[in-house]
Amino acid sequence: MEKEKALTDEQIIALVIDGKVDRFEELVQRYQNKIFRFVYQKVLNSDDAMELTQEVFLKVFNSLKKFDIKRKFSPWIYKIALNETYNFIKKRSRGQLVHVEDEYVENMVKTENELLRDEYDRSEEDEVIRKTINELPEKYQGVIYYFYLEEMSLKEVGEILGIKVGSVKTRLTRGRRMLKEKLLTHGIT
Amino acid sequence: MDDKVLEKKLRGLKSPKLPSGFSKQVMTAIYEQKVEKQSGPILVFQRAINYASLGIFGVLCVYGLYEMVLSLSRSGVSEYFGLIFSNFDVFAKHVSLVLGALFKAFPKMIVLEFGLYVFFFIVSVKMYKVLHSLKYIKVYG
Repeated sequence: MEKEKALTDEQIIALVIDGKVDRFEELVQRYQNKIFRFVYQKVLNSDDAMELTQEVFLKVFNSLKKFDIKRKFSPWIYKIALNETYNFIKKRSRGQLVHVEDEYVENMVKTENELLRDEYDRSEEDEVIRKTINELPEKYQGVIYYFYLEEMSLKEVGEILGIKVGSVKTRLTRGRRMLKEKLLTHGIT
Repeated sequence: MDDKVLEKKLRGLKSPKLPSGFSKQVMTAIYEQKVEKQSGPILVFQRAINYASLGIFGVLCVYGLYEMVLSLSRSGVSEYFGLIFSNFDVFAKHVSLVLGALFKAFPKMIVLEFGLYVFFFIVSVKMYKVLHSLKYIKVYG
């Protein structure tokens, strides 16, 4: 029997819009780690990143009808993630974030976080590098993140950012140079 | 710093991991949200009733005021209030019956809101009837 071909993101979205809501889980599984790492790079806190990742998927689900099925899904979800992250950072800086007070949920999150911390031993240097990337102008942050941290090809980075491969290369060269200069000022050689 | 060293550092950055079952957690949140949305039509219906009863109340109030001014100009003040108070016991009985039934049917706070509209509606109808009867008495009595 012929093995069933994996559906594309866009085909799954068509099914979800058609009422097969449970198929959305496939999209979540495909993108959850990418989106989590992406938002983590911006907020640098695993609790916030996890909460934000869930918010992103809820936003995606609620906006699916607005998605143009002829376009690629990945640039769209990254754009939503970026917007949600900026909204989150704005709220955090204004101190407007509401903390969940449910004891059960808090305990559950604590346990999960302890597990996460066991697995993830973040070095000081890692933290400085991540913060320094966030200090770069937005257009350089994107290319550095997708190309180096997510290990995407130049073409994929171009698709996500909606720019040509040539522009990706230019931004990478300039971004790298700026990053090296900034890292030097932070004592990383 | 050499490009290759930078590349090695960037590619070697560690990230925390999501807990297993995260996708299930997201799906649960989506289903919960769907259930909440399904209760939307009930809220819309409730609002529609509220606005409709408020609208009726408003129209009747305006009409009632118009009739009151007319009646007061035709009859005296004492005759007018005498008629209202003579009907007050029946009116109060109707209100308490309606509110009592509502409280039994709907135990939540919306009953108060709805009850108030019913109350005002009855007052308006009552006022209209009384005023209409005054006009009747005055014209044909």
